[in-house]
Amino acid sequence: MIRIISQYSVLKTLIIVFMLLVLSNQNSDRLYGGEAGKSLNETSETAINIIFTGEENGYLEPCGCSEKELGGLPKRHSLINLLRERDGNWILLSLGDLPGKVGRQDEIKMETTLKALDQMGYAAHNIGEKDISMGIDLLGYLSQISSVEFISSNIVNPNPQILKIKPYIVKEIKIKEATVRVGILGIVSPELIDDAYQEIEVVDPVESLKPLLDKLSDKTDLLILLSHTEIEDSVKIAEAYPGFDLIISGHRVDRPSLYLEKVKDTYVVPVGEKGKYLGTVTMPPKLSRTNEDRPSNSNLPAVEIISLDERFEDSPEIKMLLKIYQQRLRDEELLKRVFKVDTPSNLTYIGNDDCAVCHNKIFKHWENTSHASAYETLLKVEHEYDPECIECHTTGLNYFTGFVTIESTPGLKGVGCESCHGPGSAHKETQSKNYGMVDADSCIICHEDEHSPGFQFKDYWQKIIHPPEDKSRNSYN
Amino acid sequence: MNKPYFTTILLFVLAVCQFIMYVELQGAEAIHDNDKVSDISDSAQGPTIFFEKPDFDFGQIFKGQKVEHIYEFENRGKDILNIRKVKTSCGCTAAILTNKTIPPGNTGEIRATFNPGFRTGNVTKSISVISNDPERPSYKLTISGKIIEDVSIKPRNIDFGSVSLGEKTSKTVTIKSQTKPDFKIKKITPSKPFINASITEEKNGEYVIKVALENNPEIGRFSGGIYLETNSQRQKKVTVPFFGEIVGDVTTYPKKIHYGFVTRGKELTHKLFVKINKNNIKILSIKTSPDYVSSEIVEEGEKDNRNYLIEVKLHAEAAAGKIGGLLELYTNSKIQPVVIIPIMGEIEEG
Repeated sequence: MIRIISQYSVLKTLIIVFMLLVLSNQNSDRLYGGEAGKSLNETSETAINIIFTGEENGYLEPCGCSEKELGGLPKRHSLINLLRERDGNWILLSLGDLPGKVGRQDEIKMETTLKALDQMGYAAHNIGEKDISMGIDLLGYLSQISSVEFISSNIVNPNPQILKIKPYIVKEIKIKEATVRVGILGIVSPELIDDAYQEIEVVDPVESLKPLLDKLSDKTDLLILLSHTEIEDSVKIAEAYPGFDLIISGHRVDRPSLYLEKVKDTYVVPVGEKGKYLGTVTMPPKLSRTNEDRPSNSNLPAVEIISLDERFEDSPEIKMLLKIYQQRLRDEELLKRVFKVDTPSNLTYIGNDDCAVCHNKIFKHWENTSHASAYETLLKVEHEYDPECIECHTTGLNYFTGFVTIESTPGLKGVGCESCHGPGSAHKETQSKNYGMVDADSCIICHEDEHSPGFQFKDYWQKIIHPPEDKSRNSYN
Repeated sequence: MNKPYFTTILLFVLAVCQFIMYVELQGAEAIHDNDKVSDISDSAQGPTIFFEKPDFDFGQIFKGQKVEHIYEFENRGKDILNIRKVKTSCGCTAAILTNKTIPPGNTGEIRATFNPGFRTGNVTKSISVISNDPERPSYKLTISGKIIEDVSIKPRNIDFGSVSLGEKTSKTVTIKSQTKPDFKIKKITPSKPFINASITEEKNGEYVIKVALENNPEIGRFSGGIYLETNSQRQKKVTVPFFGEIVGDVTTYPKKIHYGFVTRGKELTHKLFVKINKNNIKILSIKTSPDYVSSEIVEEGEKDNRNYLIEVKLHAEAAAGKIGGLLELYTNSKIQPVVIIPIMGEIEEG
C-alpha cells in the first residue's frame, strides 16, 4: 500500500461524515488529485517534494478535437505554480521520451518541450529511447542550451564535448535548517533500443548502477532512480538495489494510479503517457542512511497522481511557447515536406467540385457536415500549418496529388469525399460502381482514441449519412 | 470575513479533504489487492466481486488485428452486486457488461474488445470495474500483449547524423517478413534524388539494403523516406524514414532565433550553440541587428573542443512591432565566411 493514512478513530470519521452530510450542498474551492485525491492545500515544509512527469511522446497539448482531453504543458505549468504557492521546495524530474517519432516536426517539438521544462524549473531529464532516436546532434545541442540537466547512468557518451550528460545529479535541499542531499540517477532499458546502429551505446543498467550507488549511498540522504523501463524491470531493480528510496518508472502505462508498487522499502511509481498526469511524491527526509533510520510505517511517502484536466488553466507563458512552435512549423513550411506515398493503384485526387457534378445532392448535404468545415476548425485554433493536425482535416495529405497547402490545393481542404472513398480519378472516368466502399476501419485512421474517444461507427455514420442520389447508390455497405 | 467563520470553513475544508483521501485510499488499496480475492470467505456480508482471471494476455497479434476477450466474474458475497461503471483506460478498448445487477452466487461477463489501431510493441490496457463491493469498489482488469508488424525493419529509421559537405556515406537496413518465408521486395524508391538505395544481399527472404548518400546536397538538415513495395499481404507498402544533416565548417543550433510575442519592456535571452566541425576554424566577430539585440560569447571551448555558447539578448528598450533582426557570425572558414541566423519575434504593447 503506497499511501499510508494516519489512524482514524471511529469518532473522528463519524464527525467528518456528519459534517459532510450537513454541508454536502455547499461549494468549496478545493483542488484535489483526480487520481488519488490528495488536497493540493497540503504543505510539506518538512519533507522532500518531488514532481515527476515523462513520456510526453510528442504531445505538447490536447489538440482540442474532443472534450475532456487530459494533459498539456500549459496546464502542467499552472499546476506546478499552484503547488509552488503552497511549498517552494519541489524537485521536478522528467523520466524521458520528449518526442514521439523522428522527423523535423518532432525535433521542433522536442526543443519546445525542453524549453517548457526549463521554464517550469525542472532539475533533470532522463534520456529515453525516443530521445536517443533523435540523434546525437540534436541531443547535444539541447544539452548545451538547456538548464535542465540531462542524466543517464547507463549511456556511454560518445562525445562528451557535444553531449552533456551526467550519470547522476545531487540536489541539496534545506529542511529545518538541515541540508538534505537527494541523489538522482537515470537509466533507459537497452531492450527499448531496437536500433543497434545508434551512435549512443546503452549498457546493462543493473551493472552500471552498482558503482554509482556505492559512490552515492554515503553522500546522499535520499536516492531516486528515473527508470525508463517497463514496471516489471523497475521492480527487479528495486529488488536488486534496496538502497533506492523511490523509483519513477513505467513505459506505456496508461493509468499510472493503477500501477503503483512497493518493493520492500522502495516505492515504484509510474508517470503515465503523453503528459496526461503529473505525479508528486512527498517523502520524509532521512538525515542519515543507517538501518535504524529506515522509515517507520508512520513516516512513509505520499504519492499522488494528478490528472491534468479542465480544473487547471493554461499557463500564458507556455501557451506562448506553443504559439512559437506553431510559427516555426509555418516558417519551416513543414506542410510541403510531409512524407508522401503513391496512392493505391496510382490514382489521383480530383477534389470535391468534380464529385459534385454527378453527386450534387450528396455534395450539398456534405457541405453542412463537420467534415466540410474541418479545415476551418483548425484555422480557429491556429493549427493550420501543423502537419499532424492537417492530416485529418484535409484530403490526401500523405499521398502524391493530395493536399499540400491551402494556396496550391484549395479544393482539397476539409474532409472531402475522397478522404473516405479514396482518390476518384478512375471513378470520374468510368463511373465504376465498385468505387469507394467505406467501413469503420477507414474512419478510425482519424477517429482514433486520442482525438475521437467517443467514436462509434454506427452513431457517427448517422451524422454524415448521404441522401440517396438519383443515379448513384449510397456507398455504405 | 470574520475570523471564527473563516476558521470553521477552514476546518470543514480540511475535514472534506481528509474524508476524500480516506475513501479514495480505501479504493486504491482495493485495486492493489486484486490478487488477494481468493482469500474472501463466504461469510462476507456485502456483495463481493470475484474474477478468477483478471489479467488477460493475448500473446502476439499483428498491427490492426482486433482482440476480443470475455472476463467472467462472480458475486461471492451475500448482497446484490451492482456494477456502477466499467471504465476503460483508452478508446482502443471497449468493454460491454452483460448484466449490471448480479445476485449472490450468480455470475456476469464483461466482453472486452481491444483494437490496436496503428500501435506496435508491448501494450497493457486496463479496465476498471466500479461496483458496490465495499472491499473492492474499483477492480482492475488488464489486457496485454505484443503487437507486431509483419515486415520487420532494422533499424527502423536511418540516421545519417552529421555528414560533412561533399562526403559520401552509407547505412544498411535489414528487412524481412515475420510470417512469409518467400518474402520479396518488389520495388525500392528513395524520396530524394541525392539518396540511392539498392539490395546488397538477399537470403531466405531477408534483405539487406544499402542506403547511400551520394550527391551531397547543400548545408542543412535533410529527411525523407525509402519507399518499398513488398509481396506481404499485410504490408504491401513500407516506408523507411531517413534523416541527417549536411554540415560545413560551422553548425549553429538553432538555425533561427524565435522570441515569439514579447511584452514591451521585457528582457529575454536565448542561447545559441555554435559547433565547430573542423580544426582551426573560429569565430572572428559577431554582429547583431537591430540595436536592441546584443550577443555575447559565454562559453568557449579549448583545444579539441572549439565550440561556442552565445547568449543573444533582446533588450527592454525594444519598440513595439515586428523584430526582423539578424545575427551574423564572421568566421575564418572559406566555405562559410558568414553564417546568418535570422532573429524573429514581435514586441507587443503591455
